[in-house]
Parts: sequence; C-alpha cells; structure tokens
Amino acid sequence: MTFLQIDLPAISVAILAALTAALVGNLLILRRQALMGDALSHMVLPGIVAGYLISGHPKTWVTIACALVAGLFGAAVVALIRKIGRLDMATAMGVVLTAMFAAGVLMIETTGTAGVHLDVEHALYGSIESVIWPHPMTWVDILNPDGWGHLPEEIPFLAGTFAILSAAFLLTAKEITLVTFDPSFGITLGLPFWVTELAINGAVAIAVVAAFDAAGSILVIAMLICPAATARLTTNRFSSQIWASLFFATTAAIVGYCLAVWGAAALGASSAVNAAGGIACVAGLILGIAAVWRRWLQHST
Amino acid sequence: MSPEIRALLQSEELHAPLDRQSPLDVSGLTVAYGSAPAVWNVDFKALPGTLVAIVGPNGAGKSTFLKGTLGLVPTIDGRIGSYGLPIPKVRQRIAYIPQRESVDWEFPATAIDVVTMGLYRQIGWLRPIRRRHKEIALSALAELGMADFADRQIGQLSGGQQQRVFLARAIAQDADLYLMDEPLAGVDAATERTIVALLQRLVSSGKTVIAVHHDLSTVKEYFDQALLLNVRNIASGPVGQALTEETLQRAYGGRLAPPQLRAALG
Repeated sequence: MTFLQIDLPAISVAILAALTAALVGNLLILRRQALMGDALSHMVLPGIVAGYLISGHPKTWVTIACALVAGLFGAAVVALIRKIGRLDMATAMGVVLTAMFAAGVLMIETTGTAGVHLDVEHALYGSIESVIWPHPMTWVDILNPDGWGHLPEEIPFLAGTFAILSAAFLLTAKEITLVTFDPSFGITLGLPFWVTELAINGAVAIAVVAAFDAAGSILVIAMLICPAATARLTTNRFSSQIWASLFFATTAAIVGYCLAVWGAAALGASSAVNAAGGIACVAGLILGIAAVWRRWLQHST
Repeated sequence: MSPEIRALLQSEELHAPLDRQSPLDVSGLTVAYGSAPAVWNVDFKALPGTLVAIVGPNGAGKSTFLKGTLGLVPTIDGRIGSYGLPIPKVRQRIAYIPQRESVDWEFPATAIDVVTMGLYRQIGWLRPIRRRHKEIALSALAELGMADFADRQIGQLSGGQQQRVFLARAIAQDADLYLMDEPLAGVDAATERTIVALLQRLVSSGKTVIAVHHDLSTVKEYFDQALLLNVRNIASGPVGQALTEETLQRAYGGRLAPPQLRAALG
C-alpha cells in the first residue's frame, strides 16, 4: 500500500505549500504586484546561501531567517528606488532581483556550496515526490501519535508557517484592506508606510522561502498568482476572496497531483510526470476557466 | 542644511507659536517634485468654523498643498500645526478625502467597508470591527442617502455615489478638520447639492472644511474663505477679498476668458 507512505505525504506537502503561497498571493494580487512574488523568490537566494554557510544545513530556522532578511532588504531597496529614482515598480524590481540573484550565484560559486541543494532542477521542480512517511501501514495508523515523530519535516514546517501566516492575516485583515484600498488615507490615520510595506513583503518572503524548499519555484510562483487571481474573478468581497483563493489552491494541488501521478499513466505515459508542474498547470487551467466564465456572465447580463 | 541652521529656522524666535485656535496653521510650506517647486513658501491660516476653497489653475499645487500639510509627500520646509499641535498629534481630529485617482476602485470592498475605515483609529490597530462600528458606519451612509448601497462593491457605484461614500467615511470619523481633494469632481448636480449642504452643516456646527475646488463659478456661492494658489499663495481670506480680477488674473497668468472671470467674481 504505497498510497499512505508516498502519495498521502506528497499531497499533504503540495496542499500546504499551495495554501501558504496562495494566502500571501492575495496580498500581491490585490496590490497589483503579482511579479513581486517572482522577484522575492529570486532575492532571497543570497540569504539562503548565507544561512547555509552559517548553519551548515539548508533547512533550518537560521536559513529561513537569513532568507527573510534578504527578502526584506530587497523589498526595501525596491521601495527606495521607486521613491528616489522615480522609477516604476517593474523596473525597480527587475534591477534588484537580477542584482541579488547574481550575488547569490556568486556566493555559491566562491564558497563551494554548489551542488549541495541549490541545483537548478531542484530549485525549479522541488521535491514533492521524494517526501515519504514510512510509518503508517493502515489508515488507522495515521492517528497514532507514535508515528507523528517520524513525519517528514516538510509537513510540520509548512503547517506551522501556514498557521502563523493565517493568524497574522486574521489579525491584520482590517489594516491590509486600508493600506491596499486607500494608502494615503492609511497614512493620514497614522499607519506608517514603511511598517505596512515591510510587514506585507515580509509575509510574502516567509511564504516563498518556506514553500520554495519543498515545492520548488514553479509551484510557488503559480500558487502565488493563480488561486488569488481566480478568486478575484469570482468575488467582490474581501473575506470570500481569501477563502476562495485557499479553495482553488487546495483543488489545484489535489487534482494536479492526481493527474500528474495517475493521469499520465492512464494516458499511456511510461512514468508519472512532475507533480509540481501538474499542479501549476491545473492552477492555470482553473484561472482560465474562471476568466471565460466571468466573460460569459458579463455577456449574458 | 546643518542641524543647527535647521533648528534656528524652526525656532520660536523666527516663527510665531502655532495658533491654538486655528484648525490649520501653515507657514513657509515648500514642496518640490524633483527640482521644480510645486508649492513655494506658502503661509495660510484657516479660521475655525469656515468653509475654505483652495482654488488655482492646473498644476498650481492645490493637491500637493493638502498632501504636504498631511505629510503624504515629503516637504522641504514649512511648519504645520493644527489646533496648536503638530499634525501627528492631532490625526484623530483630521479627516482626509483623497483624490479619486489614489484609490483602487477594483478592490473587493463594499461601501460599508469603506465607511468603516473612518473608524479604524477609534477601533484601534489590530482590533476587530464590532457590530456597533458597523452601525455607526451605516448611519453615516444613511445621512448621505446611501444606506441602500451599503453592500455594493465600491467600484460598481457611480462617481457621485462613490463621492458620497467617501463623505460618509469622513462623517463617521467625526473629525474637526476636513481636508478634501476635489470632493465635487465628477459628481452629478443632485450629489453636488447634497454634498454642499452637508459641508455647510458641518461648518455651522463649528467644524472646518478645506476643499480643493475646480469650478470658479461656484466658489463665491459655496465657500466663505479662499486660498488662491499658483505655487505661491497669490491671495487668501474671505472669498470676496481673495478673488478679485487682479488676483485671479495673476493666479491664472491672464488666461481667464472674460466670461470665466465674470462668473468667478459673481
């Protein structure tokens, strides 16, 4: 029974990574900064390398903290370039993301960290399929606390990140609405621009770093944008926007994984295709369907 | 500029103390975008309980003046006070209605969500919105005849309705000074009458309203005081004194056609 040991933990990681990315993706979509997620996922690279050099292991809180610092630094530089250089968002992001990504590559090459974990293939596709939980033999075993200690580290790590980000989201939903809808009014009420800017970019950086390691950049970037964009096409309420994005993220993770693993075989492929790629494709497909559906609605009314 | 010189320039010897009565006491406000000054050395003192129009040609720095006083754009120089205190200490007493362009109309917020934002300081940061806050917001919407549209997404309302929602937000805020960037821009005649009546009611209850206004022909009818701006303060005071043929021609660089001029002078 390989489902419990291989597919269940893999689907769990996919869902948790998708939920984490989709939650903060709402911030990006609502602020019309969809590419900031892409930029941040590149800007954190020097932080990840620095964290690895300090701690000697790619998956530690030190690495996360360093990546977060790099992400916040990058976001601050983008904001600074926009303000001082009077450049538009895309230009400022383009400059900072290439410079910081290049710095990260240089750090890898000069410090001999190459090949450890930061190879291109891994970074793009992630390693959802390699997550295994050997413990459960039957469905009942899942509930047995003895096996929880052997859970693949990705699952508690992503679940914890998602829980923390969700709590932060609930706590600041009112403030997020204010600074996104009417930023100058927010400033006149005394909500400082820099604080909100750093908090929002910090949340995105945390989600990107946490999900990136397990799921790879294709899945993370797709999940930052597609579920929130789909939700944007289906509702005009803030709370339904968030719930809908989480629903679409979960759906894409489950359907995408199943299609990649069993659908490809059913269609005659000799082996399963990459799960992260399958999930990203399904997320894009759902977005496409929502766009067509909305157009059809507008035409029929 | 060295800190000593900056301190000297802002010291009490060079400036009169901030006026405790005045809702907005501005001296020497200068704002520049790049190297071009948008607002240059403007002094202006609003009297409490008055309806003040900020008038001037396009690019005269009307919006920038409001943004500069509120700290929304970086200022080069100037002392800004409200009721004798610097702006950050009196935010609770100031309500701001921004220009239409600075708001994201696509955002998934309903009319009542927007009005509730006026209560955020009262609710407190990171604290939840309660039912009573929604009730205050709803009654503010009702005051502008918008109660039926409370659950409509803000972008789906007409320009006049959107402006009423923003006014309701300012009312809910229960401020003493209202700074409005073109509250009558793009609204229908009925909404214009509603808004002007509301502003006059606010003023008669002792509040102060300062609004950027683009229609010269209605300044004298609607407003008590005027600040005629073209980068500098060209004239200010009671509308009758501030807007004369001479000051208007100076502010508009002689570009006003005789009918416009006659309309402005009422």
